[in-house]
Amino acid sequence: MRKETLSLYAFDFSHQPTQLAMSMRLSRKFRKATGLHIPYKRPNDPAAETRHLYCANLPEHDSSQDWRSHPLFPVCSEFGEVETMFLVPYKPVAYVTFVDEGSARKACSFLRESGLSGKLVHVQYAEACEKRPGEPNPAIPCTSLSKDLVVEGLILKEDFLSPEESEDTLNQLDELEWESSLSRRVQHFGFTFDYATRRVNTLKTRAFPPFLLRIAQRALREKLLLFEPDQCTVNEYQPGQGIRSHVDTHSAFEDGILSVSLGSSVVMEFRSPDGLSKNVQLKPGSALSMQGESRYKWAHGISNRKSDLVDGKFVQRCRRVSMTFRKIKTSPCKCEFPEQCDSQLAPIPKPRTVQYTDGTELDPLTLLHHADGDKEPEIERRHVHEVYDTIASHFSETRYKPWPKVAAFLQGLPFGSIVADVGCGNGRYLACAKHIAVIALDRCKGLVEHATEKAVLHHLSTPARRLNAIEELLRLVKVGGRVLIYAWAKEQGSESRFHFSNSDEMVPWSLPTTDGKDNVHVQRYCHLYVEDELPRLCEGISYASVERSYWDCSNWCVELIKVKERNE
Amino acid sequence: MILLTHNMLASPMKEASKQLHLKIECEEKVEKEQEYNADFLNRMIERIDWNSFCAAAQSLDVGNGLPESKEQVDSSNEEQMKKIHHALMEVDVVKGSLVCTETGRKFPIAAGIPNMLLNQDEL
Repeated sequence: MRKETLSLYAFDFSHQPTQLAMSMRLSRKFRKATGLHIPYKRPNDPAAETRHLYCANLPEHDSSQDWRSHPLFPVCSEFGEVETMFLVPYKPVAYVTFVDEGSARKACSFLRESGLSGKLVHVQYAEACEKRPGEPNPAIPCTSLSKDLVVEGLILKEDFLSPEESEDTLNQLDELEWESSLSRRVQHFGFTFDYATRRVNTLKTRAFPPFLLRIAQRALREKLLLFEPDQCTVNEYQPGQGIRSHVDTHSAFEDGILSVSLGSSVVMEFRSPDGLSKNVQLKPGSALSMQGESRYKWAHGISNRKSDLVDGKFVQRCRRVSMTFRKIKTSPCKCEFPEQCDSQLAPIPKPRTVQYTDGTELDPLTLLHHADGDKEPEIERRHVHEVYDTIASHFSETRYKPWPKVAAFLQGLPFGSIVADVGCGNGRYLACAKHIAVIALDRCKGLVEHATEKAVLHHLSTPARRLNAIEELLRLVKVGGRVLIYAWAKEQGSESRFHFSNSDEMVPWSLPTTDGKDNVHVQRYCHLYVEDELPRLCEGISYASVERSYWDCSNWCVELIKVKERNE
Repeated sequence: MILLTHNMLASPMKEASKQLHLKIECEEKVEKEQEYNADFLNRMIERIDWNSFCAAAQSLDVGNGLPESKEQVDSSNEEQMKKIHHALMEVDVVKGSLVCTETGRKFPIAAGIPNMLLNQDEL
């Protein structure tokens, strides 16, 4: 596969040269609709002769084809070396980039005079237009590019459900209740999947309705499933929505995962750790079974786009509903792909040392052993306070969005409440609710100056200090007052870029330097909380009760109510 | 730091009784208009230590016309309420210090934010 053929761009170009300006505008519109970028533009100077030619009124072509097979290529090659060509999908338009301007000029006059295959060709000079930073990756990979790539264990059965069955299933699902706590709507049957911990919650169950059971039974008969499924997740995707590339947790599910698509076609991308990629169109009513290598080794995901490129043609996405059938695994995974396997890949923390300015070099976590009894342990001073003083302004730039549940907590407080926001950071919650008075405080000077809640508890290095901090918070409130605590969770959500194997970790913060050179890394000490750790920590506090305990935005959270004075 | 905030603060020194309020030494203050909401103000008045508020307001020259005690606050008297509102929420001490009257320790105020952090040897 040649590299060039992988970069397909879409372009909406009218082929009248006089309409070039207008088509530029159209192409912008097209890009907005498809998320695609235009790799060429009209030259700033209309008389300028460049090495890029815009050619319209060409014979019909399949834009997913190799450009070297286009009839324009041999003709242009007569005048000089063609660096690349670009075939616009849908349109009889192509761009030709020569190595030099002289060749482009010769080809231009020839094509204007003689046309192509006896047909007139409109030719104009164009300018290359680089991708601007921050724009989405311009290339939409076409399914035809990876048609011949075989992913071991991947079975696609189109027409698994007839159009009538698909419609009937979709209607039945829509009659049931959708959960909308995620960015997309979901339904769960059998055991529930906990997105927080990426584990299956074996306590909560909801029986499979008969229409799902029938589908599961058929998949079993057709060997699309290897075990009788006890869990089904139904996801709704609106056009533009996708799912991050992932491998289903090995130890959580048995081999054989089935995804049945309803409503709309979508292209799913499979990626191997070796860098291979295959794009598969999932038509409505199709069943995709991932077994063996395709389940354990390949990651699968769907890009956030509104259309896909299938065999050179754009296919618009509509509302798609997928049903994923899985069987829960209760023992460690023993697959043949240890590198992707959570059961077989032991979490061995790499030794990380830090060179201190006084010349000593050591693993900062060894400082933990000395933390007990210290009023301000060295690890916190060096790896929390000093770090935040350094990163304050950059940290502040990246923390601007109030978390919805924290904002809801504040908004739900009685009128005229006085709130202490301990560890306020840049004060993003100060303006959340107008009916309360917020007094914001933070250990780091830099952060407070930036605005006038980020959890604090995950930077404290001993259990005694954590408990003491909670008691201090309770001291601030009156009887009946509430304390909401957020602390980083060891179990990070799917949106998080962190993965923690240990409860105490050094988390690097990458700080861009002003001179644009390599980023500076500073190490923050963090204690990562596991489920129930916060409520357990609070158990010893007799004068407060745990109102609720939950996971939100990759934090474990606890809401306490002070029920009496401490010494009562 | 506005006086409402000041009213919530106590000296963090371990020798201090935590009952007394900090004395304000103001080097620079600015007045910023805040939305007047009588209900909200009433709720705040219920919660603050009145004597401390009056003393602090006096030290910032905005204490004139304030009732001497909480009982004398007449929420139907809008002129009086607006004076309280002004002193409590609209005067921002941007530079100066807070002084712990029991130990004499000064906590600097810079850019409107009091730095209440203790040094290692004071912990």
